[in-house]
Amino acid sequence: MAQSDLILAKIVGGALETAAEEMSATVTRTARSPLFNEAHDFTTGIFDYLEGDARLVAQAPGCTLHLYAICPAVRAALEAFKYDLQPGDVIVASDPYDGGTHIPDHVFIMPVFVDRKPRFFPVVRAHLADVGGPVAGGYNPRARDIWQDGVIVPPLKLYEKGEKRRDIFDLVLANNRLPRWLEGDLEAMRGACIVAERRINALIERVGINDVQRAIDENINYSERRIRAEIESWQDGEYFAETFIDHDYQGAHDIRVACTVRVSGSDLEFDFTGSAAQVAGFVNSPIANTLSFVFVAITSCCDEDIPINEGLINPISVTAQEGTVVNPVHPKPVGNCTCICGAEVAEAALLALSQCAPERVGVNCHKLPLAYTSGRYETGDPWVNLNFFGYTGGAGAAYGTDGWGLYPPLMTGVILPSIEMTEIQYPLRITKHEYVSDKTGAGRWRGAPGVETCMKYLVPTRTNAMLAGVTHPTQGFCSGLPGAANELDLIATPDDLMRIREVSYNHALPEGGVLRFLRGGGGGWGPPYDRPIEAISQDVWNGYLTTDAARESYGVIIDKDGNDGSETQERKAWRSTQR
Amino acid sequence: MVEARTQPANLITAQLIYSKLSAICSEMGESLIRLGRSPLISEDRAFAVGLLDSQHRLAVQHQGDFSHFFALRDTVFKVLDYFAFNYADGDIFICSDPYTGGTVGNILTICEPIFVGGENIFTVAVRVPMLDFGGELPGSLQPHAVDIWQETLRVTPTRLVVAGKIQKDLLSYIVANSRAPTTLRGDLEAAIAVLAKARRDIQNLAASLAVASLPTVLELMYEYTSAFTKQELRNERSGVSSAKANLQLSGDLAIEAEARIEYLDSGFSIFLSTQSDDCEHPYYLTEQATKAVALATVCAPVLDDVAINEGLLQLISIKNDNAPLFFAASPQPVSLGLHRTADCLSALLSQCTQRPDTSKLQPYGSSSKAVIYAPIGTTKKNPPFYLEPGFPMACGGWGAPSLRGVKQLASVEELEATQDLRIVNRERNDHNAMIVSVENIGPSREITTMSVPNPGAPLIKYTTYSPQASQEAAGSFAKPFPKGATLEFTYPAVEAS
Repeated sequence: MAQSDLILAKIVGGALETAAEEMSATVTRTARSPLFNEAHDFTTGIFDYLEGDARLVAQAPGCTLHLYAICPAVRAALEAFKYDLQPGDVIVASDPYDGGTHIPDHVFIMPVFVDRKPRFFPVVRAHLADVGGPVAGGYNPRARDIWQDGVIVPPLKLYEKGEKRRDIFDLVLANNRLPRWLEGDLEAMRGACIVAERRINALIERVGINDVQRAIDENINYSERRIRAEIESWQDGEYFAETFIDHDYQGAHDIRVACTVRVSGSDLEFDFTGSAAQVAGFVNSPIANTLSFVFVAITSCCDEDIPINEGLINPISVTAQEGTVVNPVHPKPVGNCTCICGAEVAEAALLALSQCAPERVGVNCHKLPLAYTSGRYETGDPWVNLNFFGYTGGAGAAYGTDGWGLYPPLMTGVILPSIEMTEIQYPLRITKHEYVSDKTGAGRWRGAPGVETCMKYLVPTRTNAMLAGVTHPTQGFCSGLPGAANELDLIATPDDLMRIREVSYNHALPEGGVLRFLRGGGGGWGPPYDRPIEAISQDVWNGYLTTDAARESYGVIIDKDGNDGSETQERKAWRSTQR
Repeated sequence: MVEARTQPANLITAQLIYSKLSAICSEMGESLIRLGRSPLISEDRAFAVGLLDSQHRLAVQHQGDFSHFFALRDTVFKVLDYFAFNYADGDIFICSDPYTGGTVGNILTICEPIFVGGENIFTVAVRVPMLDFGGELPGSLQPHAVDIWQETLRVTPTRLVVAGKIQKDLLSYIVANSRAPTTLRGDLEAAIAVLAKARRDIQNLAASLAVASLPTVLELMYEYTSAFTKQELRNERSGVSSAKANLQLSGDLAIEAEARIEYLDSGFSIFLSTQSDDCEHPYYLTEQATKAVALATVCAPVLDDVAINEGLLQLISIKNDNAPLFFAASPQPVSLGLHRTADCLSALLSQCTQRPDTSKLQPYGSSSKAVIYAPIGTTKKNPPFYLEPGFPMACGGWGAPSLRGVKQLASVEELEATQDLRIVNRERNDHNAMIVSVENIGPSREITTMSVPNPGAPLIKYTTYSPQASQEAAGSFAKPFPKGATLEFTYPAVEAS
């Protein structure tokens, strides 16, 4: 390829990525829901469309778990309207059994026409704060079928030829507990697509559609070459790992997610054969969600400068048998799939990859102490709070680095809202948000410390609490230890505390009720006895470790002042075997 | 385009024309019974069909259930108001929203404006219960709902057909949110076919008469209905009467209510009040449901003899004197309102009328019921079956109370052949109560029940394998109903309130 072609490809790729990022900025600045304008629980991207096939060509950094899920959802929506697309159309869709993941994650698609044909699709994939159905917030731990998860949205045109279908728009709003937010959010997402349309048209006008298409092809090929080069650096072979879901909130326990990774040259297959049968509760993962979490895992193992596009996806295949927890059949509920068992899908994939690419895997975590709270403002209008603060922490270690940060990496791009804004938007006070000692996985590199969060609500509320990561907390890699178990308490008064074992449905708390989250820390990487004494001492000094835990987990005796100490016999013995 | 001819109207032709309109409406109903797939249509006949005039007043309505009295007209009115100045020949609209003129979430109103000479002279409408519209449980009983979204999908006014072309995406949306998609699609198509036939009939009728005379014809009929009803009820129409009662809605929910009826020259003005009610329960009635109960109770003696049209509806006016129970506001849940609160309100209003306790005049009498379905989540489709295998003897009579509608007593053969349910016993006891035992002879299923509260003697007993396991099943949901299990329904004879 000529150098000029490479430069053009870079320019076009950059322009499309910038357009996707501008879409993201538009949504952030114009949406009404705090999930959008504060937490950024959405992703924007651009697809091209040739001969009936849609390809991801650019994606803005956003919520990672939307990463691949955006692709099958777009394809399903385009399939529904492939002979009925007009300039100005806007399609919305969220159907877990037709390209979707869980119902709250909707996709918004607008065709961009070139030479009278739809050639590009700016897309926003976003988590809506509510989706109607039995519980506020869209997470129904009692769900046993998909209708109990929420209102399904097969591909639906919200705008036709640029004109709002007011009846359809109002229908969508009527089936949502937060219509005022949703109305603004829908317009914000359309606005983002219009911005992208302008940028795409300007690019085509400047470069020409043929050169744009050639540049896109080159960018996709480039990403594919990069990912194939990465895979080729791993040893060919078959690597197996398994992990377990604690429970399905309805009585099934220790639900197996098994993954065999097959590396063959530059091809990579993830085979989930051996995973448990689908379950009654809402932890089943539709195939699009399983695919998405596989890609979350694989991208966390690759250089971050590889452009995210279809090329990244091409070398990878995923096998998941129908009727299993990683590929359920209609109408099994799937409402919690983006937490559980998405987390386990990524974890099993990473555990398997850790056998062939140990220095690439890490930052595993996503098992949340989930709790959604709803209530009413003084005006009578309902609110739903996803309690994002309670989920912070828990990042696992990776080769060369301790776990860091507050948000789990799978939610990278989701931003922790400010405490001040949260307290303005909801009737609550965050009374505690702190690292705690001895709640992280030990290892050569340790997981991020656990975080304790207390949220006091100033009005009566209802909470759906769903605990995970207790029996099977976040795993470590390469002999690193697992993270700590999560905890979740619903406290009506200091004398009336309900410790959540698995789940609580629509639990009523009075004014002044408190939600206490303990987000267990992440898993470690590498043997704990391999961690340098200075790092352990620093952890004690910072309060991440107690001296007792330093001795027990790392075999290092540190005095109460945090001074470097001596090694225990066990640690010495282990180290001698490593020489 | 049908060309309208002009003809003079007179009293005789007025009656003839009105009879033709009524016949069109009647044929709509008969067609729906034959085309509809849901047993709620073909067997229970719990639907309504109607025509609205150019002013969106109710010209004629045929119905199998009292709840449609105001809801059909009001829903159509709100739908057409929503699309005001933006509808045309060939458009069909749908709506099933308790807060857009409706009563409960699973009853869908489908309507089509009819144009003659470019003018919207009538709107034809059907109001049809759907087997399932999503929500927490299969079917329409949601005993623990705390808001409307928990109960069903809300279908606000939407245009399903644009100039004769069905909106496939909207249809997919509606169908995808039902556990009985095949039945729902069939019922929708049946309703659309019925509307199409009615449109042709009306256009043919319009071609043979003076369209310009229609308003006069209809005014005459409205006046006649109103005058006839007032005349028939003249003995009851004097002064003011009131009554108070503690409405026992469920085993643990009772609300004190007061009703006052003022008899005016124009009709009946009804004031309702209740004690403060800010709790979360699904026993609310929408305004349309409350008005329907009032009309069905106050005008009970004449309802078999008069046409249901605007003249009848306008006799009733309801005043909300701080009665949230009877004037539900979004997003309060309403799924049990028509099943229980309606009867309690009817009994309260009956006290005001002070009629003798004869079967025809006292329409109330709640009955326990159940919804049976496959274990949730185990089948791709899960059409629920509504089981009401008996009825309470109406006050002082021997038939079912009129609020129960025209539904027939469940056929033993039908239940056994199509639902794998065997009626083991259906008899009246010495106290005139009907006792029905139903055994599940098919696969294991689940049930939702709505039992009328009856202290000390549960009206639905649930037995799995041994009589010792018998227990009350009041307001339970998604309860296992294994093969061999029985449900024993007791329908005590209705006593005067």
